[in-house]
Amino acid sequence: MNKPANVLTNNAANGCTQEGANDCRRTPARRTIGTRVLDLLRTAWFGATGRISRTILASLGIALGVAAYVALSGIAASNQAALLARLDALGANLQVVTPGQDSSGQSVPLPEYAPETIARQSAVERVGVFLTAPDGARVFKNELVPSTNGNALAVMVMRPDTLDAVGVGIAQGRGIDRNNEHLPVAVLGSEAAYRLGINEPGDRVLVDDAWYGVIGILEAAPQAQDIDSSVLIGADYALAHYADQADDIGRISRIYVRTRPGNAEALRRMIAHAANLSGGNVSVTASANLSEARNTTNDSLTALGLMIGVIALAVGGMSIANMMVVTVMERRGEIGLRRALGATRGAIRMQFVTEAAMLSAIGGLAGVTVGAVTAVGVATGIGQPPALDWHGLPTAWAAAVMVGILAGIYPASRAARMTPTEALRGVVI
Amino acid sequence: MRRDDAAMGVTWGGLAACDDPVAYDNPVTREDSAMHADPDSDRGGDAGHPPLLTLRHVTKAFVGKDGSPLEILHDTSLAIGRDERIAIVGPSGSGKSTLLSLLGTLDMPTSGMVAYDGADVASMGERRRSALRAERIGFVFQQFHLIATVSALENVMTGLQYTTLPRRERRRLAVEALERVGLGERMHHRPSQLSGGEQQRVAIARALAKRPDIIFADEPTGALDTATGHAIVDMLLAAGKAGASLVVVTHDPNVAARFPRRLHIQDGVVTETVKEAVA
Repeated sequence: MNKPANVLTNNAANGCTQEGANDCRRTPARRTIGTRVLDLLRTAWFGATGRISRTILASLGIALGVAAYVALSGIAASNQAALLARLDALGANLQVVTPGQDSSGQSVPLPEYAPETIARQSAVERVGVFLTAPDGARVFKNELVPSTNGNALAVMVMRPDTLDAVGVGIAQGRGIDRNNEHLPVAVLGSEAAYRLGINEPGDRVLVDDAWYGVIGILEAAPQAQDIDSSVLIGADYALAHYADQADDIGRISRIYVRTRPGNAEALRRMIAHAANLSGGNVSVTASANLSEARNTTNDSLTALGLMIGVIALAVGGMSIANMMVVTVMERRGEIGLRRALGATRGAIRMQFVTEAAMLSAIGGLAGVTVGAVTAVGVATGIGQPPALDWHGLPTAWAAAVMVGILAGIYPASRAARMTPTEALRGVVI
Repeated sequence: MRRDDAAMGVTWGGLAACDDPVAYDNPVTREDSAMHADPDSDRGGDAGHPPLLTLRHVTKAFVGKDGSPLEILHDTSLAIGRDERIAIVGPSGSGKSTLLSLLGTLDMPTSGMVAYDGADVASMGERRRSALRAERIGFVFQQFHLIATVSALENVMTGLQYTTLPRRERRRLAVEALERVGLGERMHHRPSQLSGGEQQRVAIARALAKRPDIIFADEPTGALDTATGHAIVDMLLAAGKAGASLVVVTHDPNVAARFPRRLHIQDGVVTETVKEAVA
């Protein structure tokens, strides 16, 4: 026999005695956590990516789900960013004065002189005045529309040049000025024109019992959204036409004040003081409620993305589970081998759960990438500032991995249930 | 046998000469237990050193299709010492593989006791049995059971994955084992890029890398042609000489003839046919 002279070198090096040789020939007592994790990830990686076409097919569902969510929420974020940028541009130096309330909750009318005193302030550039709308005014395309078919459009009464102060662009035609404010003419908000089916000036609309010629159609006004769905008429004509309500209509309902840029709070104080010199309450607010716009604009798109994402993730999870069941059956030989090599049931279970998680992690990563590229591409294509829901990306990915883990549990426990001999019996890997 | 090794180009001599890591046992124990490995004799083991593996009145039965128990292995008592080389011979369906599974702790007997190093395997529990296989038992299968998607080196490292060795050490041992089976140049090949004989050599390297106490080989030459099979048996016998016990299941009498101890199994009954004294 070729007995080596230094037969115990290995053990001696480990500080083992000859008697205990069999018990302490392996250096560490246990694998370190790092080694375990690394082993698990490597094994899962090789298992998951061993058959590349299958890896792609199995993780495609997850990828689509994550991509849908990331793309749609990214597009929503771009929309929002674009809108907010516009709102900021339009509404940053615009203040709105409305009647305040006294201590008993009664409305305090704005004094008649308010527009003039406000206009006199040095920081104020333009002032636009809306009067109270006629009571219960209703708008129709023509007299044939049944009076029950209202279209939720409002009538607003304004003094000349108000639109300049508000900063609404005129898409077609012209606004109401000193030359036509006493005529039965109207300017339509963008939404109002759409609902009335009027594409260009020259048509007419019926407000209560009087016809008005449409002389202009406005652009969307996010800084004063109620204008969008309104029919705007001149103050002089309204006062003359609704003579019975002249007292009410004559009252100022709102004053838009375009100021120079400056400290918003100081401007607001100054305007409030000018609006009611006797110290009565007035309300001065920023024109558009930006935070409200922030919340309302993109909820629906994000919700849609989330819905598609959740459904696709569920389907993707099922496809991973399905594939894992097949994999486990196909790789019985490997499972038996690993059991023979000393893998516990737990180790087998962990391996296949990790493998499923690996598949969905790969799919999730691909989905995040595709979704982000899509969102940025779409935003760039339609000229919006590219934006992504950055917090959503890791969450979407983590959700994908979670789905993978859930999908892996059943196939993995099937793999772990096999006895080594069952798994090894005549099965070729 | 030594000459055969040299002809194969296998460097067992070199490995044994300097830092033979397989030979961790007390050499004296090895010789003794090999000679007295009979559980029914009073000297079932050397003083303080029981045989490596002992089967006492072991039976194995499965539930047949009609629900009645089907006994595959009848009352078997057996001892395997350290450094023994055993062939288990028998026709197919005789229970060879079942016996090997029981010996390899892959399966539990229906009755009777399997003891490894004197410790009852049944009372160990799943976790300790797995650790036992991971650290001290090597397997070689007829179908090689290599993982198709990874390299030869990774396959051999898989054999050490469930030990407590750190990765660097596993890699070192795996490279060493591959060099020992003459595949040092091909360790980054995938199984599909290797011939059948080479694949089986990878499998042997996988069993050897952990420096096991005992290697079980189930029809290791069954999927190979005669010449390649002969070389594989050479390699296994050399591994046995280098410090591990070896149990080979085969239906080929020519393969069996090369083992000093032979067990014959038919219809679940094990009989000792030849037991030569250790050379």
